[in-house]
Amino acid sequence: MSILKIENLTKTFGEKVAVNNISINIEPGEIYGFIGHNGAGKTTTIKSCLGLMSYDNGEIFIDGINVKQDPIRCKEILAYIPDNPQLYEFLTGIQYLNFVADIFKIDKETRDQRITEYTKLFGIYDDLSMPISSYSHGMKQKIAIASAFIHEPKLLIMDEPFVGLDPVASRHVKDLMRRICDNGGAVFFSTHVLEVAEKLCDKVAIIRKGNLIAQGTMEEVKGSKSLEDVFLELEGDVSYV
Amino acid sequence: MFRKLLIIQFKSYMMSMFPDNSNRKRGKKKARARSIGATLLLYLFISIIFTGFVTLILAGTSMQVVGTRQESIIFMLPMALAVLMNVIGSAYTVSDQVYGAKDNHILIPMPIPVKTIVKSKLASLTLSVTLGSLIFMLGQLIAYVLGAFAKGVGSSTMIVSILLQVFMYVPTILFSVGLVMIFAYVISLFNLPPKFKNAISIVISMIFGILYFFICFRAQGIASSFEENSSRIFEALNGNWNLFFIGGEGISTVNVIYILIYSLVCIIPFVIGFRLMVSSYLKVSTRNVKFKKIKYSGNTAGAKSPIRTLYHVNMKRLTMSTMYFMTCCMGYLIFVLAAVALVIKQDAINNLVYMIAMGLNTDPSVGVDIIVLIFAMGTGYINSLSSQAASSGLSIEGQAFSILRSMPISEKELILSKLAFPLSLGVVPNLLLSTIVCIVMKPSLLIMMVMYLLPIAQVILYAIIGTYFGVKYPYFDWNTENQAFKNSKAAKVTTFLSLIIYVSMVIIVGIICGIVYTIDARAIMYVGYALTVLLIAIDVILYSFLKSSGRILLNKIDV
Repeated sequence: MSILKIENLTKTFGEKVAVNNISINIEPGEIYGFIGHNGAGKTTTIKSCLGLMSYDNGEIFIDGINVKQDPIRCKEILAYIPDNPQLYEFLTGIQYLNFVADIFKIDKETRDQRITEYTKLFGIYDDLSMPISSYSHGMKQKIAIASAFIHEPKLLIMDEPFVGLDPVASRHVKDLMRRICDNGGAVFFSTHVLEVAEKLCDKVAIIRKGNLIAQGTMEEVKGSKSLEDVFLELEGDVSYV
Repeated sequence: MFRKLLIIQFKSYMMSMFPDNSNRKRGKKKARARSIGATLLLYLFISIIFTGFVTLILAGTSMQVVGTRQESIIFMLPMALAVLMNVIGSAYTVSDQVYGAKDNHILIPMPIPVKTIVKSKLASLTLSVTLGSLIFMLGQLIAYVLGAFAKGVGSSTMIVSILLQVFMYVPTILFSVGLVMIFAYVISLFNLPPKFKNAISIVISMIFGILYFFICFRAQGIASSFEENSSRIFEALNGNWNLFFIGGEGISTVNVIYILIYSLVCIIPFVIGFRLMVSSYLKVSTRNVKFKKIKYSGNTAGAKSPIRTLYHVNMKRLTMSTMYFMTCCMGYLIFVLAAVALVIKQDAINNLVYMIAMGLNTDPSVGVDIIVLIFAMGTGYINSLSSQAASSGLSIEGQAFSILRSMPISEKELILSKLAFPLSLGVVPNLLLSTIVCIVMKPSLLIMMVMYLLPIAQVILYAIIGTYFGVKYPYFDWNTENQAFKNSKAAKVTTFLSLIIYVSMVIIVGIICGIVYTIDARAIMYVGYALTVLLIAIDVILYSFLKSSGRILLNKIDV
């Protein structure tokens, strides 16, 4: 059964068609990249999967559960990391992590162990007692990532996850993404960094002006070219030297 | 350069005061025009109610003051009270909008003199406050004109009074802005953590609140001494100085001198505050906020239910944000002060009880019960104004709402946590006031129950109304907290509707009591009982409505 199944998703804002009849299927164990130009419809698609946005047509299933019919069960098994995490700045890091752990009903012992593990991995363990307002952008990103992994999601949805992360943290995120997939989960993320997508993703989808113009395994989509070349060709903004 | 910056700052300030609240990408101009219209109407309405209410309390009745050459009281006392009540809150707003403005980091590196930057900010602020206060003054004028017509005051007298008050209004505004700027400067000197700022705000507001009650209780004395002193000075100076006479005798040279002196005195704090802020701007706006480094000791908290943890986050936000704290809690400080005033002024209350009983030809115990009923109803005014805590519950989440909605939190849990927040803020001060009233006044048992139940029923009513509109008109794209909890559509609609409901309730109950009194004075109590039961029933119905419709509304929100 697919971890994430998007069937004929269409979303319009007035007269503008933001997402036009796209279908995506993500199997367990896959890291799925979602790339496109600014305003292509990536965030709209992601938000529709999360139940943050209603859509006009189509269905979305997470682990076989319809997002519209049982959103709570869907959200219990997924985690979301936005591109620019707007956290509760008045909370300390540990208060925020406890808040997330409470929502996902994680017991004290388990949250102790996971919070320690992930925050030490990202090097923010010692700063957990400081207010989030004192954190740098990268630290906020790390807290958001740690909070996403705290309940060990089956599906990880990320919007530009590597923005603001140092190389070490980026590497840790990639390792954690692979770990989720190795444990039978999946990762669905959007990015502008094509080199990362090329190295990391098992499958990729390219969206342009709300339409899927390519999708499949990395080899199927890019062939012998680089992903960047393929992307630029498909986007129609290419001039080779 | 100054003019261009002033226009930008003024536009920016106006946009924060009148956000379009639509969360839509199209039709923003129309939405903003609607927002401006609705805000101005709301301020006008509040001004009329506030002026009429304050004048009624302070001067007996407004008709008693009108046409007696003490019209200044109608305009100046509510203005003074508004200044007192708003200075400390406004000081934090000004501090945020000048020292903490989001465009500081853009403007400061540019080749613009720093003084020009801060002067443009302060000038736009002053201009905005002056324009906004004209709406408040319009409400005062309406209240005055209504009282003047009722009193049969001549039109020339009215016109002179109005003109003179208008001339005095601008200096008064400059005075209040000057006070605010001085306070903002003082606040900025101390880079305090939010909890200390909140504590200081409470203390200063308590002081102002005590002044407020002092003026209320001493108002009759102040009005009498105006009358007495003006007569004595008039006699002593053979009628050459009409210092306190405004209106009724035309505008004399002395009136003009009086206005000039008054204006000069008012401008002094403005000039001082302006210069202080200009001199401190660069240092404060580029200052790093210091945090005491605390190393994490590895102690996570125990698990809480989703509703409890959401509620805990709301309370944490309250204690960590001074503006939010003041908006949600300051109104309830009046309850605390009223409770203290009751204990101190017990004798005056007893005299009032006796007077009411005599007036109604009944025994003092009925007088006690009526006073307590009036208290129970009166709490509704503050409770209705405090509905902003409820109406901003969802909007205050801001962009963090998207993370919240991606978590497994049901609509019911979210709504209940938002409803619990204003309830918890309102219940304790109301219970405190009710307890003090019951101890001091010693009403009958049934009225005692009304004194507890009626205010709580009103708290619940306005909390439900606020929560509903907060979910119906959420606004997440705010740049300053003020936009979320003061200037949002939900806050305006809730404040307006709550006031309408409260005023309507008072009028209807008053009319019914008037009718019932003709049958039997004691029967007035039954009106109180009926109102309490009715409000509780309405609360139950509205709660069910909120749960069902709130779920639908939440699901319609596109983040």
